[in-house]
Amino acid sequence: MTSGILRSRRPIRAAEVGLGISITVAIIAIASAIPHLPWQLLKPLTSFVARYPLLNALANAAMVANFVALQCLGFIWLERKFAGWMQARVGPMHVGWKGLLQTVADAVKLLLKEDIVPTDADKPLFALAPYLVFVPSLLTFMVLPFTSAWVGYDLPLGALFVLSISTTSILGVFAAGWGSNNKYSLLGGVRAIAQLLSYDVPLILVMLSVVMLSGTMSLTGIVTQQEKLWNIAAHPLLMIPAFLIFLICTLAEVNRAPFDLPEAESELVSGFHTEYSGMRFAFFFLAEFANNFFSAGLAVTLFFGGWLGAGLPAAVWFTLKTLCVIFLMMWIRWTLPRLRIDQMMSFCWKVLVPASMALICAAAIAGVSH
Amino acid sequence: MNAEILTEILGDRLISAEDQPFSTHIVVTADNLLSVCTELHSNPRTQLDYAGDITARDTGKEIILWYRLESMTIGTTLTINVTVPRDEAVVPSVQAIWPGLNWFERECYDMLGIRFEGHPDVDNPELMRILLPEDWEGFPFRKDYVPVFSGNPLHGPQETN
Amino acid sequence: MVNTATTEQRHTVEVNLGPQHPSTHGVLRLLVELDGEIIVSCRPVIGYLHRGLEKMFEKRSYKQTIPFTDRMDYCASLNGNLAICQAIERLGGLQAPERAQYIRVLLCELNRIASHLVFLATYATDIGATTVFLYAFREREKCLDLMECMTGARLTYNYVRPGGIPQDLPDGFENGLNCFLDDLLKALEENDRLLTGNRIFRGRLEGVGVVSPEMAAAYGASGPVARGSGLNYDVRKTAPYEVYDRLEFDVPVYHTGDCMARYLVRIEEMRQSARIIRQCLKDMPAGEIMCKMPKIFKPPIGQAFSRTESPRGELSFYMVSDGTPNPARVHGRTPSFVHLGMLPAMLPGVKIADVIAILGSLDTVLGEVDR
Repeated sequence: MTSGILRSRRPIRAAEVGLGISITVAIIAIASAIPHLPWQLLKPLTSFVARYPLLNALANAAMVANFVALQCLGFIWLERKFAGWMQARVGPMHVGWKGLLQTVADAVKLLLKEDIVPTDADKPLFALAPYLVFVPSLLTFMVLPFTSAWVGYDLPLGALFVLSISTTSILGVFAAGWGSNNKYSLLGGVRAIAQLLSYDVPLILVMLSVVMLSGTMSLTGIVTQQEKLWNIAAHPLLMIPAFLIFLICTLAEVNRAPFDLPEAESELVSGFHTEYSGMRFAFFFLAEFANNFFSAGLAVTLFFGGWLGAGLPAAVWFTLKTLCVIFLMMWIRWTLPRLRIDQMMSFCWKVLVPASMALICAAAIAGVSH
Repeated sequence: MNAEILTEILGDRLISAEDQPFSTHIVVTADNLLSVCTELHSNPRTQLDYAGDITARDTGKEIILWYRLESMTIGTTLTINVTVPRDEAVVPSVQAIWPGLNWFERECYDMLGIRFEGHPDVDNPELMRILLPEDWEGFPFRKDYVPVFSGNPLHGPQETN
Repeated sequence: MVNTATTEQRHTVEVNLGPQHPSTHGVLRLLVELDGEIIVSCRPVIGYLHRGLEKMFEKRSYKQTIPFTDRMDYCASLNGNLAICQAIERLGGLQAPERAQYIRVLLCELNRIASHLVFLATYATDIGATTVFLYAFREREKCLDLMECMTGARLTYNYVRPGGIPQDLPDGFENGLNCFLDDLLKALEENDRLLTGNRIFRGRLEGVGVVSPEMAAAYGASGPVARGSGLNYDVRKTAPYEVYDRLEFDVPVYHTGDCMARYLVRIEEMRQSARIIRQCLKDMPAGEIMCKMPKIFKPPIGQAFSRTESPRGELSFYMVSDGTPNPARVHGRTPSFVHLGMLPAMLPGVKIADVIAILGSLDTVLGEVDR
């Protein structure tokens, strides 16, 4: 009888670690091979597209949209596995190898679900809200530089674009909270607005300090500035606190624990998307994960030299660094409890905002002395 | 606290008092209950500051309430029995002294239909009901209670085995 | 869109927390009046799980009442078994043999650990730390395995009998129990590092839902709720039953009266329970486990009550016999019921996130509230 009782924590076997490393190496190898594929065969097509700016933009948009949708599949699986690993369980295991297709199965389920609209909901707002949330997060990907060449649209004012566009998703959140005609949704929406608007302030200030040091607002420009030394290493006294503030703010911006108050499950059931089901819910979900990936990518761009790195292809470097930041965010999410609304607000306005103000002053001095 | 002290304090308000293995047991009338409780709550020799329990039972002839009160400072237990007639089951509410007994009084109303005079919800049967639905008819712990299936599973008594 | 009412020039919103809500731990409905995020008033509506257990007791013989107590506090059903068996024993003048008393205490404390682990898991989840849930349930699993090999059930044990217990300890139980206790103490230390010292966690709990000792007494709070507010009240010490007077253990008392104090009391109680279990294993005498019982048990006419310390607080049963094989009236004074009654006094003025913290810190089981 004791066998079952005495079963303690299972040690991670060497074979599992080996398997993980080999899979990682294999994926990196495949990714490294991608640039060496015979892309020139596509030349007639690409040159045809390049001739028409409208078509070009459309192709770029299609690429970005597909990337956002597809990265979510992998990302969600990764998050689940990571959560499982942290919580002493295995995570999804049944659909596909090691549960790889679980997200696909979930997506199919969401697609097939009935689309429920509450009777007294504000129907236009209710229908519009998921897109108002999803589209800004999609748009931000347009300027995210995967490599110097892989940019949807290399805006000279990329940093400004990102800030202004990502803030508009608040509208969607409030539309969802108001339009659902549900008190939990309304509370969640109100909380979301307070949180997103507050945390935008230190986020903007921190980004501004990076911009001041780089002397450019273009995201590719910021990366090429770091060719010699990554920002975080070039100005460690300035950039390490800046990165920490940035990380905290992005956690709040993407509603992840410990800042998941707008959708705090134990208090507000599901916050502003309580009433959503099926595909509309999937859009919120998708936007959340897309935002998450984007914030990690932005952190890499601003502080860790973007695609820069030796040996591996640029895109692989970018993805690896982004994954590291994402893992950091997951680690925080699955460890910390949730803050209360007043604690969260006072933390923002009493700690983060003054700190980022001080940072911006320091950045100005550092920028002048350069 | 023992039966002697209680007899000394309460005098002729007591019907009987005796020391039992786990408590001191007294019997009072419904008219005297509130004054007895107030006295025992504030008297430094008893200091019944802890809200224990109220329950009641229907013997078929009368309804007998049972109170249990504790003293945290002295560390004693007192049980009180109060007998009221079935057709006019009225006792004073003691929830003003021990607010924790509020819900027990509501439960006694809910199950046996005892009216607790002075309870904040006493004139509002819907708020007084606690475990049973607000529109339940009858008091299930009365001996003459007959469950009748009302047809609607949400309202009124249900089919029982 | 939302029903708003103007009370004293204030616009408030009424929100139903529950009956289906992730954090009410059962079918509890809290009618909460909100002014923004602040609670103005609260009225708990209970009874959704009412099964009329007390009425059912009257239709069963004394022994048949025991399984119903499993369905009251389903997180710690053995404590319920013990409480009603004690009431029956006091009514009939029975006395369980010494070995049976030791085994009862041992199992009750084991059950207390399991129950407090559920509290730890659900409370951490309420506050937002989902990972602790799995860690606590991993330990609880081992605990339930032990209970299963002892009683044959994982949740509804139906194990204690009036006058003793039906079965002695199985082979290898002691060994498994010792291993579990070692694991538990390690896990509790791990939890202290992961959760107890966490600044966010402390920030959420400290100073929230303060209950003064006077209020705790006036409302009849017991168990960790009373001890968290500085009321040194533990039935195991004040009115010892079974063999608790022979065992050495401390009663943790914290004086701040907030959610953190109640949390710390429970965490410390698990350590004390482990201590009690080890003593029981050491001191347990050999011998009978069941006293002589008549085939049809008819206690003399009279009334009796039992008081036990369940993980949630003071669980007592009041029992009246009219000389027949069935009890004339059984009433359970369940701690969760009393603690829920404190909510209308505790909630006004706190934020909606604190409602969950306060409700969780009371650690109510709705099966016990509604009976």
